[in-house]
Amino acid sequence: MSPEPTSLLQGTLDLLILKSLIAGEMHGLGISRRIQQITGGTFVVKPGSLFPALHRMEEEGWISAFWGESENNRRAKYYRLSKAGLKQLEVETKRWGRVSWAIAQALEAS
Amino acid sequence: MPLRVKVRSFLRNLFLSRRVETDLDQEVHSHLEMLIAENIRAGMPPHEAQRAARIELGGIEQVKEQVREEGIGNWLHSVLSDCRYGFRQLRKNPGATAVMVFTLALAIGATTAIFSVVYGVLLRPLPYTDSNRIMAVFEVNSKRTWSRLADPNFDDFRDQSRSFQAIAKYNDYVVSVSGASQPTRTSVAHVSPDFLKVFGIQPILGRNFSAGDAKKGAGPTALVSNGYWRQDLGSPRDLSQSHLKIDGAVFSVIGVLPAGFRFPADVDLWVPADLDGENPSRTSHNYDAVGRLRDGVTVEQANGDISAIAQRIHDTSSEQGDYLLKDGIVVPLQDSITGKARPALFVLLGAVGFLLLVACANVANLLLAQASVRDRELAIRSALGAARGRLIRQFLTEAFLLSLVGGGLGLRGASRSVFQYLCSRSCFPPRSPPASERSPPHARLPGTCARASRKAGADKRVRKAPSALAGLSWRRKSRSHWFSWSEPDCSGAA
Repeated sequence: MSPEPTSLLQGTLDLLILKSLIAGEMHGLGISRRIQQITGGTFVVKPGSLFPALHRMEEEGWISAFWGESENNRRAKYYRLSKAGLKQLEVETKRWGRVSWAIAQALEAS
Repeated sequence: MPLRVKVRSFLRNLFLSRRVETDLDQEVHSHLEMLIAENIRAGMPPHEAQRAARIELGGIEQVKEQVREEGIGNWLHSVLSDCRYGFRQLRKNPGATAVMVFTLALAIGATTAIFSVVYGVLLRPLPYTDSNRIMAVFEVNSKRTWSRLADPNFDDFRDQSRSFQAIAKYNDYVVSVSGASQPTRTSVAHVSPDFLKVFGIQPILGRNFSAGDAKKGAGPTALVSNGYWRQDLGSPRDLSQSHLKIDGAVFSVIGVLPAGFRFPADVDLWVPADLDGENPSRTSHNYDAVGRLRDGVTVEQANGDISAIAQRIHDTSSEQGDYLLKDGIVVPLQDSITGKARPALFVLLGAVGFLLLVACANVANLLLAQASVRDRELAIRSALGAARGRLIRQFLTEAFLLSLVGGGLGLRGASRSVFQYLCSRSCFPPRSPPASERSPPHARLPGTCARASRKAGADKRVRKAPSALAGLSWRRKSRSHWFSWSEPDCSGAA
């Protein structure tokens, strides 16, 4: 049984998108499903948050977009990680590590 | 690299907005279709699959709007539409708009006019190397009146003072000059040999005056201004054949000064002073004097130095009386020219500053009156979701458009008259760069409103300056320094 979907934490969406694109180029739905899969169904990204984030990240130069054919021969817009995006992934990973460590510390404190 | 990507996205959002829109539309639609296909694969009937997909997507237009909000440079679109609405609004009330534009044009013009004078005359340094070290030297008599220098007194200042690297005397007259392309009445300065050294300049062609040129009975020599060399002599590289008949005597041209150097104002020829010998009187005040301070010497030290020499002369001279100097004074050359006009100028600046405030208050009142009529429009816009900040921005945009038009209108009239003014006078003294002498100022007008208004003001300034302000100068010379000083600023300012 998958856990109840949770709304995304501020700032984690970019990290998750970058992380999911490590596996290779993907279209919007693919990214959405991939995030759902790698978070064990905890996070479900709605198109209303996904597309703005994708376009923003494209404008930042972290990912690049191109039109391609989907697995069942539909035209779809694909996204691919850029060099700058790879670097950004490292930055965000480190930051998330710090945040989660700090939260864990805070919760353990008595 | 990311910067390049950002710039590209910005430009694309700006100029290819239609393509960006289609792209977005296709992307969202293809997403929807894939969702439907996914649902059908999962075993839903087509109708149900479509419904579920639409629910998951959450509204095509909403998604697109959310994406648009994130886009780089989309603020520009909203600014443009603000401008468009603002412009319509202004056109709807032509009467009020005209009044506001006129008020603003008048006030901005006046303020910038006076500011241009203040800037050109008081704030902007003279165009010479280390111009703040160039001093004017005067005699002070027993009635505390300042005057020019008598020959023997200047010689004593020059020989005995330790404060100056170079000190020179000069005066100028308008005389008949022939020998060039045509006979003219030309302004000629009589200067002592160190004159150019004081200003830190060298002839660009030929040589400077030597000590020998200034000796009594030496062959008459002359330096010419760059403009005179080009226009009246025909720019000869070889000066050996250039001779000028100045006031009846023949002078050989020995050098050409750099473009832009014309001190005293409007002078075209410089010749050595006292070729017929000095006037031995200590009370014939025939020459102005300028000096360049030695490094490390302050104005106060130079003053003490000159004072001491002056008092020595006073104590030992046989020519006692009201006209004999009792003291000497050293002031920066710039201050000596602006003199007593300084406080008056600042008072004027303050006055027009208030004028600007009054104008702003008037325009604000008119805008307020208009806004009260626009209650309905505002209510509708905020009901449709316009944020408070957006509405405020709309009003600011309208005010900005108003001032832009106001400044622009002033500019139009001004640039034409500045052009005429420049055509009617062809010479510009100390601070004008040569290129600006004959080029119309609007040829290089900067685009911003503020500067535009400044330029607009420049015109009024040059027209008022000579008549209204010349009288404030404490120098009694007939030719006004104001004239020459404020002028280049109108052409080369900013």
